[in-house]
Amino acid sequence: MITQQSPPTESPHATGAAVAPPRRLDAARLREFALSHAMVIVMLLVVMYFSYRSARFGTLDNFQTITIAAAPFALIAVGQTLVILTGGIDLSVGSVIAVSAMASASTVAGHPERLWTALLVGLVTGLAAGSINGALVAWLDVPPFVATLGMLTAASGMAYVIGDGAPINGLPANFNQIAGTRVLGLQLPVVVMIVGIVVLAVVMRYTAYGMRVYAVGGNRVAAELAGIKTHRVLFSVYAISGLLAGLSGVMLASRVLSGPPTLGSGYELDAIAAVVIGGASLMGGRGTVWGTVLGLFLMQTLNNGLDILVVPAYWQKVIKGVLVVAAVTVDVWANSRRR
Amino acid sequence: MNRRTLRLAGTAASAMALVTTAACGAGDTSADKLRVGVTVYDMSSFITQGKEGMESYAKAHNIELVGKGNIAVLQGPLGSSPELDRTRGINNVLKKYPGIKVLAKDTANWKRDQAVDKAKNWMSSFGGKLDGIVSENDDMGLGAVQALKEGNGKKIPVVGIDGIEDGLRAVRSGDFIGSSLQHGRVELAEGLAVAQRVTGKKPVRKRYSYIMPPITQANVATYLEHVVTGKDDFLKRLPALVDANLRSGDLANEK
Repeated sequence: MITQQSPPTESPHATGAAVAPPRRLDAARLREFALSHAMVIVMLLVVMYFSYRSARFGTLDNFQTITIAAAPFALIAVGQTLVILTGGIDLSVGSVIAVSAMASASTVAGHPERLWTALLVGLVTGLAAGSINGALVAWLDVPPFVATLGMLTAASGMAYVIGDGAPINGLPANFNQIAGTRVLGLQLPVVVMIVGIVVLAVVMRYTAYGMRVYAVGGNRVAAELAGIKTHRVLFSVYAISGLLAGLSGVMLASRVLSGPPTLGSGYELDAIAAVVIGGASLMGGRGTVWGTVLGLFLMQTLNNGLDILVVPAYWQKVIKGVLVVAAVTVDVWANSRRR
Repeated sequence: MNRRTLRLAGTAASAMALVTTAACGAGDTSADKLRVGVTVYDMSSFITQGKEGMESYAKAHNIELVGKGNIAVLQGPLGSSPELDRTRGINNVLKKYPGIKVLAKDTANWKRDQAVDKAKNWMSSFGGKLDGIVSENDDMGLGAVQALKEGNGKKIPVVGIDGIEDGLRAVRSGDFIGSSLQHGRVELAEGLAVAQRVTGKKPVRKRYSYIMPPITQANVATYLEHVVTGKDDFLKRLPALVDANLRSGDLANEK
């Protein structure tokens, strides 16, 4: 079993090892710290640059703008992290967002007072789509790329079927409450994002379930021999990914008070990109939720910062492409220097 | 005999195809061929309208804002033909108003969810300096409206185009100062009527133009009724309306 990313080595204090670490900062430890957190440092540099160029970047308001924009992506990106850790991929999340949003929106269009039902319908739709993916991959051995590609197409089609080819307009204003509710001054999607990230990060790091996911991705045969029910683990990650996509879809639809069948199209690429930029391996077994969050916020910060500096649209794309590759290059280089 | 019918059917079908695709392409600036449902009028009806709307808004709120101020433009998918035409239309109008400065323009790919985030970024960047948002469709405009609501800042004028249901409602509620209607039912019915005249060798005009009617709070009730609430009644009198419009040449007339 490969557990490169399993919980970090215990501190020397706990192991009672021979070398008592000096309390002061010394060059070697600083270097080690910098190299192992290269992505964080890149991120800080980006933030510092934007703050330096515009006084309006580093405000609390703008921080909220970034987080609310990141929320729908964060949910599908952490779901995607679990899938990719098992060595799979979920291409369907964008379409699952669309079909869940449409299902939820059409529910609320018919029954304006049933907000909870609408939310539930969206979640169940997402969970159902994810479960189909999971069943195909786990028990029928369909390659994840194919299973979820099929779902990508079929769910997108279903979204159009629900709306009869058109966006659902004229939704009651109270549907906006789901995304508009504020908890401790934060909009609900942001709260949901934070809870989702924290819960999954803890689960992946400290629970047996998390270890099993890493194990299946590291070496499925070995995991099975070790007694892990790999089918169940595989099924669960796709189901979770689908559920989170459903949640993301409801939040998005509620925020813009509409059910557009094109909602979320292309989001899967952003989710996968966030996971990979965050240091996960598409081969499985390596990666962390924290890394994904970092990768996601790097992209979202660039989106926001480049808009604030009013960089022309065409150049924004060029800069984003170059910077993302540069950031990962630095990260890979730093990792190679550590060993 | 049989072959002749077929050929006629073939002609009718191709004429239909020509006319309907043209109708679907409403919003183009080029209109040199036989086209139905094409706005020739440099796609600016909405922004001139937007300006008028802005003027009335300014008057009502005792703001002096005549052809002056800073706007941001939400564009369609960059490089796509409607985006290019609509952006060209906006630029054409802006040439007449050198006092209006475009602080930023960027795409939100026709989508509300992308437009919310884009508009919020702009609000972060420009703060109170932004005086209005021009959107190349209603959906993105509605995204901008949502961004303004979330931002708790001052309410600034937003103008859309297309006259989708939510867009019309936004004009009614005052969230939009205006939009322009692209009434698909009228456009396509007129396309069919022209096709029928072509295949029947009846006289047709060289050029038919559907000039999108401006929508403001003053007339939005009528259009909302035609497009949404009373659309069945409207459909009943559509055939007669189509014939009258083809005669008069005012394709967007809905009276």
